[in-house]
Amino acid sequence: MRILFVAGGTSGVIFSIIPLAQAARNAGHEVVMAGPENVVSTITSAGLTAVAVTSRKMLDTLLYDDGERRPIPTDLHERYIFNGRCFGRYADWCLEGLLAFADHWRPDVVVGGTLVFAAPLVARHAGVPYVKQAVDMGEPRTIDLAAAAELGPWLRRLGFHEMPRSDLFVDVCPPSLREADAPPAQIMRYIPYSTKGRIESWMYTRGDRPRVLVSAGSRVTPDRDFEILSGLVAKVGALDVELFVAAPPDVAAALRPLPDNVRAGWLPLDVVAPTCDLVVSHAGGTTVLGNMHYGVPQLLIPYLPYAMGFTRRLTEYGAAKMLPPEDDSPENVAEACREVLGTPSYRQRARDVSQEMSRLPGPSQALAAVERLVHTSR
Amino acid sequence: MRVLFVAGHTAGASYPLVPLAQAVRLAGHEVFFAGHEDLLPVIASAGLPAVAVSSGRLPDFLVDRRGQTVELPEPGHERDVAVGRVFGRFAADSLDGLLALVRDWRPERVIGAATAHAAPLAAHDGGVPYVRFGTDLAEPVVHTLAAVAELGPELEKLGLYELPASWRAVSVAPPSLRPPDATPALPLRHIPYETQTALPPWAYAGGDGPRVLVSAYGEAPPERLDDLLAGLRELDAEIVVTAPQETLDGLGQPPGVRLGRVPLGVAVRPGDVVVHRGHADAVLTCLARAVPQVLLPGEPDPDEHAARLAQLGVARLSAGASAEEVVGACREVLAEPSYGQAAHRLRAEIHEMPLPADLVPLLTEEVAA
Repeated sequence: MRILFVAGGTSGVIFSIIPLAQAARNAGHEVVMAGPENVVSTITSAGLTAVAVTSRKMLDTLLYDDGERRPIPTDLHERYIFNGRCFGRYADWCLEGLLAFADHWRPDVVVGGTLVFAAPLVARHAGVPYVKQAVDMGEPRTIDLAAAAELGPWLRRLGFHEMPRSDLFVDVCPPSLREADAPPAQIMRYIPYSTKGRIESWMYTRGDRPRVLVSAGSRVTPDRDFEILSGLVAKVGALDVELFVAAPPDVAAALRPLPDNVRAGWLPLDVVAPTCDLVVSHAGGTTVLGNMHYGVPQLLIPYLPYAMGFTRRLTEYGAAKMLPPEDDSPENVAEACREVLGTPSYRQRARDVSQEMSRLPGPSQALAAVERLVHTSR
Repeated sequence: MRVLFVAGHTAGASYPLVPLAQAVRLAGHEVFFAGHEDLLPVIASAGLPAVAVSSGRLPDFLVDRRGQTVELPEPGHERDVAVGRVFGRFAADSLDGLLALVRDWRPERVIGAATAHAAPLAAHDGGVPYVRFGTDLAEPVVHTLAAVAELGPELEKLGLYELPASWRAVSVAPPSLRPPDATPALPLRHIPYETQTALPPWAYAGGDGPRVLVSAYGEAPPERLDDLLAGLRELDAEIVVTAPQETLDGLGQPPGVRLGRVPLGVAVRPGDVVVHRGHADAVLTCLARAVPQVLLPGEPDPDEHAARLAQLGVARLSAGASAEEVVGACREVLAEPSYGQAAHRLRAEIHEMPLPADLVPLLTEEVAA
């Protein structure tokens, strides 16, 4: 069977759909993942065949045609509408190339991550089922609706009155953390995937002291939010811990010199997380799920509004502590770290959720649901 | 469970393990894939955590332990012994790195390519069950025996008198191609894998006519390739050369030929013909895609598995043949339906074999006391 995966425009959302795509490939299906030129290497370096459908980039959806930045609204509802319209533009840019590819390649089914709105359209255009896969534990209703509005001209051109619905929804949120009103879904175990690089022995061996990983997020630059990061190194590094700071090379360089118990730079989460006692992050969707997989307690500072919902749920579950963004001083972060490290229930609950996840159907079983869908719709 | 995969001596000898390694990881296990320094990009770009355990290159081990350069004899037993000893020295170079990795990361299984001769030693030293992964094609037993003999000093250091026995073995050779004397093994369906690329439009938007794909991996001399391509252009088929970028650069822009760094398994379709040098990975990929093959002269040809492929009717051997004879072989394979029919039979056989995901439980289940 031919399965067309449609990639989102940034690495994190692509990482989420890589396991299902690899599982499909390893079950003998022909798999192609389509996306913009600038994500081709992300796709191929996951061992998947790529096809480039546009030269435009996701981040350019934040700009006007003349290159000026579109102002990002502060009001939450306006922000969701704004984000949805950006995702709509992203789909618009991908669609021409994507439809042309589908006409030639003739997929049997299309799989897209949430927020990849070109996927349902190309599936209907090709007359094949559409599978939507959750990329994190968020529930972006208003974003979905605004994206559909932005894609109005495409819907008309293709003869649709609304965004085509998914024929199968694959969710990666463990049942005990799902919202009560979450739509019916084929649940799939989340398998972390991260950028690959050189693995060193210190990454997977640990000493006696607790190991804390601070994931700075890819948006931190030496100019932006740098004080917070250098403050964290000073305050968290002063605890009796081994501190890792996952940061881009220029940021890591700017943080140096570092104390003996601190390392900064590229860190593969899937190698390091199993050795960690605590991960501090901005609550990015894939980072949170990855640490849940490894059973690591988390300290979450949800800077992005969409992360607030699942951060609260994981905090209520007891596997994470939330620090509101307005309270993110280095002193407060260090104090919160001390609390999580000193309270065994965080580790216990993190292990509980990890065990729950380990019993969920894996990518191969979720793939079987996709195969059934295709067979019944023929 | 932590599962350590160990690569073979080249990318081609390691690709067949990739789908299984991915499947083990997708089942929720932790996977490391160890190999030679030069293979790190190959492993990492399969989406797998890559660990370097050696840095000496294979040609470096044409020099023996006394520092004397070894002249490889003509094909035959003497050559097999010499080549096996090269593999043995190459493996010895990786042993310390592997031992340290097993000690520090504490894998619970080691799954090694059949040519990764240090893997069973490191597994034994760590008390870890070892799984031998074989293609059972182009893996002559004399290579293995000579490699192990060369590893005598390392065995002695580890207190071993012989190669530790494997806990399990896996083979991707379809039953009718497996040598009758091969070790019993769990069958595994071969899933074609090579380092992936973006698809060029011709790969999906071209015509439906047959393609002749020339897989120019290995050390095929470009001038011979020029002759071959000139001859192939006479055929009523689309001519495609897939090769590493440096080989393609050396070819310039031959008219009427598509050049691309496209994985063989992605570029071929039933009805095509593949011209290649008989390496196990390419053989298996052609079979999995139901594509007949024309085998060029060179290592590991002439070889037992090439003869079996010919007997099964899925390949034409052209060992020692001129460019003209290779072109003739391609013409015959394109015109004669029996090759395609035989290729479809072999593919059906491969499709009967268990998938990587099906094998994971058997390789991670508890070891009986």
